[in-house]
Amino acid sequence: MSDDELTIDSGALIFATLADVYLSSGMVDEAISILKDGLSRNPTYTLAKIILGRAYYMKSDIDEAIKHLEEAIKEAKDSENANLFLGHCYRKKGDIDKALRHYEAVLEINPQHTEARQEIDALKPAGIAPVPDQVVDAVEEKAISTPEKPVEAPIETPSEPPVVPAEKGQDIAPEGEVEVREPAVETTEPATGEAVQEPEEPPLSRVSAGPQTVDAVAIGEPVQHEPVVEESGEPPAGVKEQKVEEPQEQFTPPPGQESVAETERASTPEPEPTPTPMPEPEPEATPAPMPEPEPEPTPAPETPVAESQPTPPPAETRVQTPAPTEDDRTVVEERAPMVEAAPETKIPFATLQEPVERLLHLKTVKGAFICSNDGLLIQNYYQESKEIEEICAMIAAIYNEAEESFKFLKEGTVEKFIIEKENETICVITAGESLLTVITKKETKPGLIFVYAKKIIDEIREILG
Amino acid sequence: MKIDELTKIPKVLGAGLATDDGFVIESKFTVGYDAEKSAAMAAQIVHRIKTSLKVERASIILYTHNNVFFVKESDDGIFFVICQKDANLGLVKIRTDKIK
Repeated sequence: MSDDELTIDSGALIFATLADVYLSSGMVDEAISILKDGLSRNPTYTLAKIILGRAYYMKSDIDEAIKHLEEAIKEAKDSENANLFLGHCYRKKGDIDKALRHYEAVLEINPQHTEARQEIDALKPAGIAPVPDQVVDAVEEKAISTPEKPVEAPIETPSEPPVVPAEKGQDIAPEGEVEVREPAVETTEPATGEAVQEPEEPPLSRVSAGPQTVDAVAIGEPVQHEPVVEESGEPPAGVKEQKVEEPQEQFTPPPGQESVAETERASTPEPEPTPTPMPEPEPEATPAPMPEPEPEPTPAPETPVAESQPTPPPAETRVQTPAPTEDDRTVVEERAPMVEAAPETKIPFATLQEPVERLLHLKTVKGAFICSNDGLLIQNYYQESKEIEEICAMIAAIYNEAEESFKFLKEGTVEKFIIEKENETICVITAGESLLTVITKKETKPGLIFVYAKKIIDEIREILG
Repeated sequence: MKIDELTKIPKVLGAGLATDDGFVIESKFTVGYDAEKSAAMAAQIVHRIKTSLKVERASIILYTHNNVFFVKESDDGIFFVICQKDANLGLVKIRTDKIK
């Protein structure tokens, strides 16, 4: 199957895409083989190098992984994935400094990157979590996470007497600490008392931030997170304790231990992310999802006191939204591997998102997917189906059968076909080497499907050639 | 009978009925089209669909650059129609859908 295709397409994106699919299926050796072959023909394809590094990382061949990732990062310093996996590799090798450097680089590129943040928190000795200034800037822009700044904040905070000396409080999150989020926000806007900006957003990203907050606390003030609270914006200035609810513990991964546990956890999961087809498409733009963390109840920026930022209650930070954040991130990150790495080239399939969504919004459409004409899944938009790969193979088999028959009849090639089953209709449209398959209900209007599919087909042709 | 009805539609190049193993039972084609080859192709595709998708009755519409093929499994055998791409495909489909 892929041999021919690779011969033809190894110069294009397809081999990296196929390799990514292999990786997501756990077929690491096959992925490596494809990537090596493709890279031998197209040695400047950075994305492929990153995926190859990831493949070696999944195979636990750390030295090889580092070799390819370092090579990739020379060509694409801003690659989130390259930095992330390099961080993982160095962490596995025990080179914490380098690992931290790469994780921080990830944060510089994407301040909301939960995983990198967690890794940093886990690796750094209790409490001290220096956050790259750039990150702060980024945070301000997005007004999202930014938990780190708290560290800096302390300096500015002076305005308000940081009441309590909390210190390591990480674990101990007395009552009032809830507000992890804010710290970041405020931090962003130091000095000025208000600092409110976007209290709501913090939710997701905050999680990661949490740890950092802790650091800030560590700096010196124990309990008195109150100021922080205010800043965070939830409780209007002054009301420090209101949000006490969440115990910092929830999320708190003990810095030391967690680092180990998490590290492992993190390391393993990341490679997995791929499982979801880029999907993601998804790859689907990674960037999009982040921008709007669902507005949580958090009262917005009322806190004028902001400046107190410095004392973001460590524990709280963690408490906040550990779970949700992580989930979201994982999803995002999963797709990211392909998507993010792409910046240099282009995000494969990201441009498909819009036309595909329009198609999927049709009431009669159950789902859709893109596969190669040899039956390999390329992109899946039919999440409900558990046997999507089987269906791909079947559709490709039918296509090839028809194609051969038409050759025999000298009728040319198949452009599209419609199969009517008892309870559903399958519309398949060819796009170069790929097939767009749309599964619909029986009562669908094939003509309408083809109209919507046309735009998708054009995009696919552009992406895959 | 059914075949006659179909071939009367403008730009329909021919229609036929074949056995499951691809032999022609009945056909009416314009010059230049080989009914036997078409029947064999129809049978092969039907077989493939039935084994792949596990459907009881296969039904498929195939578009090529110039023509469109309707293939449908019926009680009497495999029904197939070839028409030009600019034929009234909706009408052809309605007629073929009537075949049980």
